Amino acid sequence: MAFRKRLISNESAAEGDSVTKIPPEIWTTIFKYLNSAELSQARLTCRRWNQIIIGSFSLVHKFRVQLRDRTLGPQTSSVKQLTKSPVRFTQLSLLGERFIDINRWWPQIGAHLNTLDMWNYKLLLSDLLDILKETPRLKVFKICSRYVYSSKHIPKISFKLTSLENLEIQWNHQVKTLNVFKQLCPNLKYLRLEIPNRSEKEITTSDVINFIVAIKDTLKELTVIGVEGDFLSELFDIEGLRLKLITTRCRGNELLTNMNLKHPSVEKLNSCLSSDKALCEVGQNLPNLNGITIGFHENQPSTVSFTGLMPNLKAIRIYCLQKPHFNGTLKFSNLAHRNLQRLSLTASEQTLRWIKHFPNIRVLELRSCEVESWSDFFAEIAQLQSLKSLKLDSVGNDCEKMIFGVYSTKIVNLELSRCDIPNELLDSFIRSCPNLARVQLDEMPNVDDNIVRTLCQSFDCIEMLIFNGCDNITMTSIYNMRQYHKGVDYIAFRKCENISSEITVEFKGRYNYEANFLKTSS
Amino acid sequence: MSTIKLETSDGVKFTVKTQVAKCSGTIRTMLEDIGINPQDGEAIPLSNVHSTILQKILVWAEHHVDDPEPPRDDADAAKRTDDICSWDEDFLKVDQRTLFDVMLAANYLDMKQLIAVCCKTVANMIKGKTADQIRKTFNIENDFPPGDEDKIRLRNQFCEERR
Repeated sequence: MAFRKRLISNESAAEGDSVTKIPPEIWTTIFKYLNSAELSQARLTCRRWNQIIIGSFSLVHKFRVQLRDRTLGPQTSSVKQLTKSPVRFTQLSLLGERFIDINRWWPQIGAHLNTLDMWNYKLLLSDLLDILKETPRLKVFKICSRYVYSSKHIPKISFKLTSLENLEIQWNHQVKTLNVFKQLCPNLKYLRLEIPNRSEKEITTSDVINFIVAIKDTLKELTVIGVEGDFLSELFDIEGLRLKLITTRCRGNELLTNMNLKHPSVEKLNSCLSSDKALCEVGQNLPNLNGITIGFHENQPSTVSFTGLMPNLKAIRIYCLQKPHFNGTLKFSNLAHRNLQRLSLTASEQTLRWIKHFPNIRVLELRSCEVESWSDFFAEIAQLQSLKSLKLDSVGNDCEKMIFGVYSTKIVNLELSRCDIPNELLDSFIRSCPNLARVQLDEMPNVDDNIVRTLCQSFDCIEMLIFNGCDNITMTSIYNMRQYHKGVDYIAFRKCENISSEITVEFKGRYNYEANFLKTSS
Repeated sequence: MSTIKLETSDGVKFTVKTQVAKCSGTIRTMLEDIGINPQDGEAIPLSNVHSTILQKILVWAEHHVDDPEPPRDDADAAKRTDDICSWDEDFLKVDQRTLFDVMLAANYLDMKQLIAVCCKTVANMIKGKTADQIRKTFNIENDFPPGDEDKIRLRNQFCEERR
């Protein structure tokens, strides 16, 4: 025992020399693999490591500095430590409710900050202004304070945050704050406003509109959550909007009664607009729209005509707002839309009708949708000659039908999650996709060793296969892997019940026939 | 199959397949850019690498010679250390001195993949340890002046990721 001990200590003495030989740049690379708690311990190890860590720009950024005390003033220990710190932090989270002598301690901290978020339960407007005044380089500002209060009058504002581009406001109950920011940020590009459900001194739609009017010349992206339903009508009444991206989530049904102005700048609109009439207005007045998210009521026997007014649309995402009584079928008053490349449907019952309307899509995503039968669905998919990526999540079928023709699709990426596709159908569908390169199957009960074999053996292009929680795959697939097609670069089996541990098979490049079996810890 | 000769700091000469030797960015540059002709039979001197370490590195290079080009390093991507392949893991089950010497040589020879896997191994030796345990592991002396350590500790309190 004693001998062993001596041996170890001799060895480690020699090792000490090696540690000092390692140059700082290698240490920096090593430290990049650590999180901030681990880095904190590494800093305490020795002076050299501490110097390396605080001297590295990318490592220092891992530290999210927070001032958490309820009262913050020049005597608060965290404030003292921070102002003494040789590190110039550029990002900070500021909590606290009371701020004492802001001018005596904040300027030293605020001078270097480009990102600040504030999470205060209470905050005086005058304190907020004192803080912002001494944060001249601020680029990103997020304020999630629950309550900002102040005397009746807004203090006089004598400065502007010229570098502020990104502003996020949450939980602010008072119109005053908006009025303050209206004067403060002449160069705002991104605005996100979240208005709580039941605020007492509510910010109304017109307050938000007034705010946007004041900053419209620079604003590129807008997100508004929690305003009243007719917000979009008022927004589109503003002349000279330069917005490219608009995202809204209204309380209640989103409305758009009329649009009087054209806005060529708008490229993307994410809203819950659901009436075809409103969407036609949008199509007529936003000529450069290329992406849209809508909510669509399926309970009305609906005729869709908006797609005819949006010829440049490249991507559409539809959330079908399902109602229990569905009657009638979806009709399209226009010819097929041939420019659309990306279609995402959530909770749709009339999946095939939507798909048929967009014959040139490259990407199709279905989530919680219904298809009449898998046979019909695959036959329809085979008609989409541009389709490269197919993603199905929790898609169900109405009726069993087991007819499968011989098709050929050009699908490259296939991702299936929680879909109860009969094994034979899935097998023959996979065989109809000779260009498959990346396949991920999650929680697919009907995926078994046969499907794995089909995937591995049939094609030349397969690069990556991931099986996640597919409980009917057994170790047979693992044993046979060696004989399977050699072009596969990466195969992973994760959380599959009948496979003893997580297994990743990585083939060493395309031309090396030997497989490594790597066990990774789960 | 063309070969070249490499000479280590202790005068040992190795005959290596050119393809394997080119795993080293340094050697690749010498051959391709500077135009050293391997046919001359003259050995390329590697004055910073000892023969025992070069031998080990050549074993690694031989095994990884067909590896595809690594994806470009994305500085912002979360860095994982649990993806070391089992062959590399076994390869690096060596005493610390050898590990660090391999790392230094890989740095000198500019072998990015090998450096990465060594760095991950060392990072795993740091993870989950207190400063004191780290010092013991690497035999590092605590050279902070009295009190300084506490200051850093205090500063760390508001630096650690919390929410």
